[in-house]
Amino acid sequence: MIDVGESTLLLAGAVGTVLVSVLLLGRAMIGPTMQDRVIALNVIGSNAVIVIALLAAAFAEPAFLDIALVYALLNFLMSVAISKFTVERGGVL
Amino acid sequence: MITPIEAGLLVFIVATAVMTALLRDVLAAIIVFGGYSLGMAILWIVLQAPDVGLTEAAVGAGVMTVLFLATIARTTRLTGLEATTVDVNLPAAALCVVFVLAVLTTVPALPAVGAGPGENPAFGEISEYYVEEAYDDTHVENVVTAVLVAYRGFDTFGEATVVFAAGVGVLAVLRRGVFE
Amino acid sequence: MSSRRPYVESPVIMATVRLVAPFVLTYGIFVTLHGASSPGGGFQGGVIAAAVIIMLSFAYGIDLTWEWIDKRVLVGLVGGGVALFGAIALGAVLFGGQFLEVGVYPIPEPDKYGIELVEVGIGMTVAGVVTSLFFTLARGAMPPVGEDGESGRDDEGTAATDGGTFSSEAPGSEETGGDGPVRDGPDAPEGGDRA
Repeated sequence: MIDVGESTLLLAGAVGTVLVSVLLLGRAMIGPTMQDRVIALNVIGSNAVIVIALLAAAFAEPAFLDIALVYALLNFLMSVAISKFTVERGGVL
Repeated sequence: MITPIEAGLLVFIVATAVMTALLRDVLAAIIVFGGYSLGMAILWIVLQAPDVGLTEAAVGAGVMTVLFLATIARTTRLTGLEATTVDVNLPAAALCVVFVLAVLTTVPALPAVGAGPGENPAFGEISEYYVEEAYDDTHVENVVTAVLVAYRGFDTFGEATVVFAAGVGVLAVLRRGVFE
Repeated sequence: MSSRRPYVESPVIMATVRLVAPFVLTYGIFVTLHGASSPGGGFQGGVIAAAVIIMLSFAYGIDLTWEWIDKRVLVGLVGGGVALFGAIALGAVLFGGQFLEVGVYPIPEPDKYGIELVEVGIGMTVAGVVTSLFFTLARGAMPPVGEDGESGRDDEGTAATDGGTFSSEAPGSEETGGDGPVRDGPDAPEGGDRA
């Protein structure tokens, strides 16, 4: 059983990562080129994996890790799709 | 009470939602909407609803962005725009804010989170029955699946039929030049 | 569609997809089959499995993937999922139960495995529908090649409006409009507006 102090620490880490994601949103907003926005979204997705894993540990619910796994496997698909669309317009999409 | 992580996530989600509406470039709006989906998935996990979070994760990261991109690839997209965001119609925005505030005044009438079965209609006897008896009735560990298929089988059968019918309908409409 | 120049793939994406796709497919099947004991179920698993096909399309080109897929499998998934669900629901009547009463099947733990089978049916339908939707939308986005005079489809929309320039997918394709079906490789369109 996880004691309270450790769980609080994990939650604090999750909060910090969420705040980083909020900052990254600024780059997605103002990013002058589309590449900036894609990279920002990719980092936000990686942050989501971290946050979900931390929450799974903090709540002591290993089943939550399934969702982190989905993002870890599918996050690159989102970035690849957008990148292909911007870089190779007229190519695949 | 709102925990810090819920507050951070709500800021994130509201910011992405507003930016999706405001951004001038459609592709940028789609990218920000992907961020919205990520935030919602984390929020579902914070609210202890992993099944909904898994759905949001799979659909948001795997399919939705790709379908949106294919849609704007079918149409045309404005590039080389000068302004980043659309011009906001201030009176309309003010009206929306007033409407949201009016709806927010009804929030105190809702039962408190975690209220007992007598006070909170959403957590009444039926959901208590599901949580307590689902395993004995169906031998399924995941209550959500037990409710979906065992207790509400007709509903789920209808949903599967709706997915089937919607897919066939969309394919019939968009079929031209694809299935030949 | 065989006259189209094969899409020039990115080796990074191809290598990544080749590495990741089997795991994603396995995980989608896992989520479908383990809906009873962990988060997930047919809908989620079906979407994850369909993402594998989308992944392959981005790595190897949409047209090649579409040619590789057996359309009968796709139709069979869409229809067979609903049919499986209905058959399980009706089969309970044969064993003396009521419609959808999966607990009457003469197998060990009939409730649990009946529910799993129903989830498999849902997953098949969802995977088939999502895959078909993706190909319907994405293949339509391609400039049509080899069809009868349709290749200038939305190039009329490239006129500048509202201070911006519409960038269509193939800025140089109207001069090949009436040339018949050859048109192999209008690569690197000189539109100059690749952001």
